[in-house]
Amino acid sequence: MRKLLSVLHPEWIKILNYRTFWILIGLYAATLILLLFSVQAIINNITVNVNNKSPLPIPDFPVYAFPGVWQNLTYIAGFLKMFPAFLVIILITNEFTFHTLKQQIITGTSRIEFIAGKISLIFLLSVSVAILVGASGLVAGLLQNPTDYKGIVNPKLWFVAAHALELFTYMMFAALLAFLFKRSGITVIVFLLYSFIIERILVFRLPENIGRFLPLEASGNLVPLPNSSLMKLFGVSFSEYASMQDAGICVAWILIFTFAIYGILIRRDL
Amino acid sequence: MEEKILEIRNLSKNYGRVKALSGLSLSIDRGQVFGLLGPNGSGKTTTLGIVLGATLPQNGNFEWFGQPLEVDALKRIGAILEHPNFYPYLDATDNLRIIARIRNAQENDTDRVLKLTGLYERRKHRFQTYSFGMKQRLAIAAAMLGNPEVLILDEPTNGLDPSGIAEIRELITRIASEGSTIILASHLLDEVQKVCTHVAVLQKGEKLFSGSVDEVLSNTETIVLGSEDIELLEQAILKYPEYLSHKITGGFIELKTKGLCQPADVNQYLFSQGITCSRLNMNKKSLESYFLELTGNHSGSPII
Repeated sequence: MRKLLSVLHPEWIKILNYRTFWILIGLYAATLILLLFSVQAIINNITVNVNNKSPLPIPDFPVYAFPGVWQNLTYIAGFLKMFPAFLVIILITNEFTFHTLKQQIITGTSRIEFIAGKISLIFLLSVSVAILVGASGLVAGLLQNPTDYKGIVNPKLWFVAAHALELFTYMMFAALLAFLFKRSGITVIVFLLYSFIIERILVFRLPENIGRFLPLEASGNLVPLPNSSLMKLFGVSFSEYASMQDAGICVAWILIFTFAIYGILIRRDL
Repeated sequence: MEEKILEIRNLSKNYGRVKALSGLSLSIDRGQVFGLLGPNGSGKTTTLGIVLGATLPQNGNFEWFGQPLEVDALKRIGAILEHPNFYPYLDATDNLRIIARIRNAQENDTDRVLKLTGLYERRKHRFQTYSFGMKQRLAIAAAMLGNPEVLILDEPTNGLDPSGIAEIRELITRIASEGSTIILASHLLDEVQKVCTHVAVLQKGEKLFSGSVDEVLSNTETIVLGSEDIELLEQAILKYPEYLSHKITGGFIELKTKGLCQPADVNQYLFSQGITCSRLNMNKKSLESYFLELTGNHSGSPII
């Protein structure tokens, strides 16, 4: 624990007075909260519009009711995960741009300590965001009338932890690319290309039992699309719970990314 | 006193097809102010990058304090490599706190080194607002955090104005007098001559010479002697105890002695042999002329 604090402390000094970082974090948190608390209104709006034309009445979808709120909000929050991933890319490529990684290594930071610092930071960021989403869910759920108090502690609460793991995997992938490419511009472009095009195509072309092992697919599957009554109407059914298998795949990817980053750092001149 | 600080054996490094270092060996003892001298691109920074663990050598090895490089050894070494490397958005104090943390130095030591380098007044200003000279001084301040046993300074006076250069030289001399070992890479011969006790001359990744600065200088110093009877003078100096070599040019004898040139001793000796000199003067070459000799740059075009 002391060791962990000693690698985290320099990371903390680096971001504490880094205005850009806090502006971006603030924007992200504000957007996230705004989105989470507006979902019901948006869905209501859609259902009303559709109901006008639909021969069958579409049942209401209570987004914030316990225990469904845990899955609904963590799923929605997943749309914004690009944001913290960019933060991670900025924080890591900065170390290359400013040659501060080199300076820290020649000052006596081991490569493992350096990586541990960055991974701890990513971990804290993932957990903090998941807690923010969880807290938003709790507030939104308690504001419902009537409140289903028994639904608060429910297996679906695991989705908050699953969201943290989803963010962690996703940001670790961004971190790997940042260590690999060293410059923010190219890292962001490759990251976008991979996550929105390359992996989408791979998932589409590969058999499902292989495609689901891809890192972003696996982390995305951690919080599946919630089963709204609308979905049930169409006979579609997604998993109601986070799958341990997807979680295992994500943990495996996190380990692979960590070793890959270490491999990059020990093989390359700084 | 003869404790080995750094021992380099047969280091080689290529960047693609460019040979940056080929088979460099060096040995640095405690208390030395060691100058790594060479023109740009001669392998000085590459050498320092390797011994600091930032650059990977193709061949060879090195030992700090008698052991292969470990992270703990690096904490005993304060180093600047090439440019001052800091977070532009952080102020001087925050930048130094990060370094102090890594090196297990006291956090309040940042104030001491900031005062030493004359940056204390500007400590709350962000690094990106600094002039190049101030950035360089902050790098030196960072290297001095926690009083490391060894200081490695790569072109420390780069970008400094004349008074800044003088300050840094004075600082280096003072730190050296306190017993720290200093490794100074520079292409400025004058700088090395003024502050270093030992020197290694590099060119195109190869070592041309290494030894003490006195040795180099004595190598380049000659005494020019003239007398009525040049043959008698020649016979006399051949028996001079410190005699090393001589040559006759233009009716004068140019004498090289073993140790440092002592014109008074030579004069006294000759007088005791019954020879009166009609001319006696010291021909003191600078490190620069020696350097030009070594690197084969006889055209006289400046290296710096």
